[in-house]
Amino acid sequence: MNWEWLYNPYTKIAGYEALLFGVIVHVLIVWLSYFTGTHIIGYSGLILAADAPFWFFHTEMAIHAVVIIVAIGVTGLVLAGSRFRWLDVMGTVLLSRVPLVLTPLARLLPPLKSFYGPSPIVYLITFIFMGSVIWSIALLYHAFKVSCNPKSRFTIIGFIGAIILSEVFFQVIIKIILS
Amino acid sequence: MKTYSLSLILALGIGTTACSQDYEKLSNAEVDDEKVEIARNFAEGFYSTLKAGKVNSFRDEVTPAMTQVLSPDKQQGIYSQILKQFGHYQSLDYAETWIMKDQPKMHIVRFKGTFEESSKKLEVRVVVNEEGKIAGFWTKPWLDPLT
Repeated sequence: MNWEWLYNPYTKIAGYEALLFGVIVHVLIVWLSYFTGTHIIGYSGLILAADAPFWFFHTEMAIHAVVIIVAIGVTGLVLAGSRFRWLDVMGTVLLSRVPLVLTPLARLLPPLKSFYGPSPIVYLITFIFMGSVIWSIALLYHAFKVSCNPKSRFTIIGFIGAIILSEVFFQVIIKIILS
Repeated sequence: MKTYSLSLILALGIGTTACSQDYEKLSNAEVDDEKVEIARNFAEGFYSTLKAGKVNSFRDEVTPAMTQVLSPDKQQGIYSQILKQFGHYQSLDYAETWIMKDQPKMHIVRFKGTFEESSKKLEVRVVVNEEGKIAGFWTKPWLDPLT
């Protein structure tokens, strides 16, 4: 069986299809996050609390998606060997967020919904979240390569820099807007 | 690979079971409605009184230790801090009840509190002992794990 679609589905799906699927997944993640009280704070934060209205969860996810799209697009502009379409960047980046559905999905299981704090359930949820983030970033890297077609030998460094800077920028924005 | 995966799942399962012995969440059928009402009346009364600019005076509804913890000065301190950070108290919604396994008659009742200037819910936690007296009271950011 070919497992390539797990980390590089963009040979099969891109453009409008990827964008449509990405938007559907975004809505699904937001809804599940709201339903289970799972705040996904970018790639670096997770808070388990059913403490806020739907718009709050949507804003957290949407801002992060926009920041990542801009970061990947701008890095692509700097490193790309040829022109690219922003639509492809948006679609592939949104599609790369599919694994983030795992944590709120797992929290549909009653033992993971509400529990005593020091229990290993916290570590289990963190483990699931970290796995989903690693998978999502692997997808994002392929999204970057497919949609921006970077030719520079600084592609990996540029990508890592973009992720780190976007994460810092996102955390600042989220603190200002949602505090 | 399958063996390692299975071992990991088993270890997590055993660890989860072994370390979750201190507290237990009650199902809806197990919840003592009377204790929830005691907790609700206390929390609502506590915040409504402070919102009106008065202080609560407690008699038999709280344990002697709680009388000390919730002295008039401390009540005003608590509310002014909450007012500064989250705005005035608005309402409470019951969320869940937990018990400590070694003291099963001590009920930990968790409410989600709405405050005027906060888009997030706060946890208002009330501990009711076997005599129906308030033995603990906290307000803090809501987290799904009981911490």
